[in-house]
Amino acid sequence: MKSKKHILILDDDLDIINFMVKVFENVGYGAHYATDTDNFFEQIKTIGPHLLIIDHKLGHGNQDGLHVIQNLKKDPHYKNIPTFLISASTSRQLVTLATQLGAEEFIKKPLQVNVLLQKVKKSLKVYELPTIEFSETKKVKCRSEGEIIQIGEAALKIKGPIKFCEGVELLIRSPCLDKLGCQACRYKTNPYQRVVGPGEYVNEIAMKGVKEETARKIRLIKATTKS
Amino acid sequence: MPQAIIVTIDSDLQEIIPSFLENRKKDLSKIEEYLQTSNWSHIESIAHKLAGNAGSYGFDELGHIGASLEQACQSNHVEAIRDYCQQYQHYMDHLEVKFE
Repeated sequence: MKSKKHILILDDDLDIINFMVKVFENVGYGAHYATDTDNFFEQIKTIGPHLLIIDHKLGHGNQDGLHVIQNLKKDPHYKNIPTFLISASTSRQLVTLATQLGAEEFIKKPLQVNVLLQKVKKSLKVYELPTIEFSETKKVKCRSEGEIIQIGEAALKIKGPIKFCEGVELLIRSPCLDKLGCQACRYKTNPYQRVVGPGEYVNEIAMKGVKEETARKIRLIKATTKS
Repeated sequence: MPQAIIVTIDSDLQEIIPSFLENRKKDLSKIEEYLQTSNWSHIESIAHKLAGNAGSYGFDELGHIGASLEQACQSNHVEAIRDYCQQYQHYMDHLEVKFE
């Protein structure tokens, strides 16, 4: 079964929000909204939406919709979420600017249900990640980047886009670990995992076969960092 | 008797039409107040939203009134502002919604 797609709307007009929420819910999407930028960013963190729809003119006290897109696209956590700008203006300059800032689509107000749904559907399909059916697949091989955020003599913590189960054997390639002399080490995930942001997790990984010289270097790093 | 303005709306939107129309009544009441104080910027803000939302719901003519009112506010054309506000009031007074 495919999971429900969630759309987050930022607009200061509750009538337009009600309209879009109704249109999206009628076809089975999860629709959420914010009327100010602070609440919008808060909801991105909690909901983890698949698509963002942002109005251009956001009213007094709010950032302009283009600035919101600019900030989103600068943030590594949010830059890959497809983003639409909606506006009553059709100025070529606005459309060009929105595209340059990273908006995937520009939709003109008044909104047309068929155009809106067609663009949403298309965008969600393009950005859809592959679905792996675990009932059919017992082993999954995958590769991703991560950041070592903590290291000890027996374990390290890595921040990355995958939440691992306990006991998963990993192959870690890192110039930093090579420098410490960890080439022969074996890595296996511990039960510790923590969600630190939308699609971002910290996993603790046990290190086996750490040589005394490597352990000494790690102790040295820790001592240097503390001082 | 003046002719009713009949607008046919998609029945998928039936549930949200009452609140939309209720908000237009609130708009008109605010506009009346802003006209008295010549607060064109607040009227412009109402008109801007109307231009974007009314047509989306299917009230195309009302959306056009909103767009014209917004433009009149931007150019400080007081006579046109008053005229479009009257058109807004007239539209709402004679509106009859049907669903299909």
